[in-house]
Amino acid sequence: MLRRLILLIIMLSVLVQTACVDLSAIRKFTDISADAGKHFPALANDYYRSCMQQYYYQALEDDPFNVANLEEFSRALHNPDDPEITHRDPISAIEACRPFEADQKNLIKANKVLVAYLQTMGELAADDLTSYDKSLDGLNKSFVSSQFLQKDASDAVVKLAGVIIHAVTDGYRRKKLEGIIGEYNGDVRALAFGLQGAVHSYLTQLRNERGAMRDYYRTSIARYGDFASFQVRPRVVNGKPVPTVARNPLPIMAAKARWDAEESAIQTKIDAANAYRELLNNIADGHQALYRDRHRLNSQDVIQTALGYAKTADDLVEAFKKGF
Amino acid sequence: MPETLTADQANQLAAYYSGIADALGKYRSDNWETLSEPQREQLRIARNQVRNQSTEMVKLALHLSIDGLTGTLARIKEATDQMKTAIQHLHNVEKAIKIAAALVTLAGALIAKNPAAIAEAIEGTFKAASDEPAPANN
Repeated sequence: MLRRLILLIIMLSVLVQTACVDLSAIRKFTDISADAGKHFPALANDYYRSCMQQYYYQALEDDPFNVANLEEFSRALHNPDDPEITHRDPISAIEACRPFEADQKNLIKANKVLVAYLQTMGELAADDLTSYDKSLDGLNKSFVSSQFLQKDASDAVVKLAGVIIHAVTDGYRRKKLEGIIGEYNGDVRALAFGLQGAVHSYLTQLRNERGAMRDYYRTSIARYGDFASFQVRPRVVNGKPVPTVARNPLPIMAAKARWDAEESAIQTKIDAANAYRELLNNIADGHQALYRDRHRLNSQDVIQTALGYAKTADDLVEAFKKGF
Repeated sequence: MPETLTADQANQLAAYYSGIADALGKYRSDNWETLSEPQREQLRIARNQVRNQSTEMVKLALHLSIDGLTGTLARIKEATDQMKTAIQHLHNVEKAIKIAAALVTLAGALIAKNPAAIAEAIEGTFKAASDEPAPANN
């Protein structure tokens, strides 16, 4: 009898340990993905800056010695409503770039819902769900009215925010996880792909900023060449002046060093944004894998699959954090 | 049933425009010595207009779908590819400026979501790139 009891205790202990491993695999995947998502606002808040920087380079190339104009660009970058901004170039730039400010806020909200959903999944897996981010309350109306993202992604924001709130207020337990994964897989994928499209837009915007930066440096160096050549006295050969060109490279070396630094800074952001795009793909695919095997979340192969997605997420998070 | 331009397609258009602006910028830089000051200025303005239209399309991509454009996307890509090639082999600055102007007209039609104007502008881009009649529409 005692032997049977001991055997039963050992079997139960093994079962509990296996369950803990299972929980940690799903939770690891969701926690790592959610952690990267928390850094996303730094990326989202860069749209307006990048757009303004593009216009700044253009203004600098057009009118490089207009100090007031250039100062007002700095003001506009920090506060588009600064009443001291009066020059036409910064005002045009604000008009062109301002829509990104509203988009940034909506992107952050949409991403916050995805992060909160992943956290809820992880907490449900550990049977440790106690609270949710109260800023999700009332998100549905404000998000719909913004007409932001494609319709399926926009709808997913509202639906996922709803299930997160219900999960907490209705006291969902671990056994609900399977049902949630089953019901909301399409929404998670739609939102992840919608955000992926937004990050794609950001990447194109960074390329526009980089193009304007290159235009500026190319023109500046060419203009310096013209100016320096004008300063050089013609050589006199056999009593006749021979045209010559400037050969002093020092100012160009300084400009090139700055150009390289700015190229490198933009490339770091491009690499980080690409990592976040891949992370969103990993979230969509990882969720799809859990959806496919939702009826047997405890099995070893599902655990290994979840750990695989967690590992990929971990690598991508590191790459993303280098830029933001 | 109306066709739909997806965010991804709008992003593709933005990338085409960004690429054309890059090509115009490089052309201006590579030919700096031979261009007159008014030509440099015309190219600077044209290049910036194309680049800024790319940013407009980035904004467009972040919002809800536009109806009635999918069927024309392949044609727009064909036109912009042809333009990019044309810019790389340009001998005539006026043609570069014509190409940029045609692209700006096309972007205006796209952003205004005007299918008739879009179709007309696409033909205009082909004409600007080739100075020959546009290839038959499939």
